[in-house]
Amino acid sequence: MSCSVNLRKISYTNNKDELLKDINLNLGHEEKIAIIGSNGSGKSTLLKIIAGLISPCSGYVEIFHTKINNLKEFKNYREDIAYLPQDVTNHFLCPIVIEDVIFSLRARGDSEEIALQKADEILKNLQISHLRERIIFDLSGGEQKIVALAGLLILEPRILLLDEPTNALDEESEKKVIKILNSIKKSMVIVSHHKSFIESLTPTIYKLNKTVLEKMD
Amino acid sequence: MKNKESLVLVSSLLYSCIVAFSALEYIFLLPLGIVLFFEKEHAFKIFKKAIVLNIFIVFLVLFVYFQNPQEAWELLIRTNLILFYNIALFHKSKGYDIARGLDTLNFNCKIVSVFYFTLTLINYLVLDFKETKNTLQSRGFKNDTSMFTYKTYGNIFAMIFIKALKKSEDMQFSMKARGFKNKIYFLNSNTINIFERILLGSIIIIFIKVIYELFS
Repeated sequence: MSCSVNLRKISYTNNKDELLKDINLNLGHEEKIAIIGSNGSGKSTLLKIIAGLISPCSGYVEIFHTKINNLKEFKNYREDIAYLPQDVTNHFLCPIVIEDVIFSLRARGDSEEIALQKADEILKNLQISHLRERIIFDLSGGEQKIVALAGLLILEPRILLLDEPTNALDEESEKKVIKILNSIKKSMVIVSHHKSFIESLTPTIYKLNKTVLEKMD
Repeated sequence: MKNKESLVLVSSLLYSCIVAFSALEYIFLLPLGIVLFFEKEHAFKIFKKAIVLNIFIVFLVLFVYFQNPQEAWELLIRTNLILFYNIALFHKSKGYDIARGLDTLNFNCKIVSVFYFTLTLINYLVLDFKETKNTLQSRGFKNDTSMFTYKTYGNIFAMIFIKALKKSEDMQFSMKARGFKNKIYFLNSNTINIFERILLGSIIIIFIKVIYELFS
């Protein structure tokens, strides 16, 4: 199986606290893997390293078999990697749902018409067309998560990195997110401390425990 | 009613300047009357907001009144005309439409982005502060003039400040991940509704009148 992401001996220290030590991980093409771990174990940090948002202290990341030496080199892969932050409100860059969903396409230089066409399709697929003109900050947590997902999926990324995608969601919203994520055929790294949610998405689960990443049986 | 933001911004600026810098006339009531007519369902809310803000104006007017009563009255009328007009125009606004208006008026994209994100962070700070106030209440905190109260407020403001820093750092990550290049892409409608047409018409009439009187 060809790999989308390889982590090689990644270590990360934050204010003298060692969070990650010699982490190795392979994410295959259209493979879904989940990382669980207790609060503060470094799950989100690991995701940010894969997303090219922070540099590891040592080790390196390979994206589609290309070694990435520094954060600048991630620029070539920005459209291939979509990252959903833990606090989804940090994801939004525009006030209205439709404006935020088309943001990445407009930033890439696509015309408004094409961007709107794609956005409407995505909103329809995710069954949130009724939220199209709403102000994002007036939406519920669950609706915000799905809108954020729409904003990520519109770029058709090859790798999805999701940090606690069901954080603070009610049961119904969680089910909806699970259904959506199960229908997406992309390489995916999902970080959560919610084991039942993870198990409904993928059998490949890693546990981040005291700086070490172990595969769970 | 959803108004065209740039038009509302321009009319607000023009009206405020005309009322502030030219001799008072009855015709100045026309745009205000139009806005209040279209917003009549929210009239109570508008008056309430204006009255609260008038507390500050009344103090100012009182000080002027003892030196020059005529000027004090003028000051009261001018400030209230501007205040009522702007509250009536923007009382439903959450601020984001102002960013949208600035964008339509072709302001530099950096200025629009800075305005928008400042507004977003202010909204978060307000929300945070409200939540913290609720927490204080639920944990039995009572305001008084003791050192404990000051220390508590000091801690709260420090925490809100640190949270805001963390939030802006996380937002920066999102900007990076989503390919943000200083520009926010707003969708702007090109249609002008009946309210905007009438409002703009009344402002133009006043503007022409003021200019005509200035040069005649």
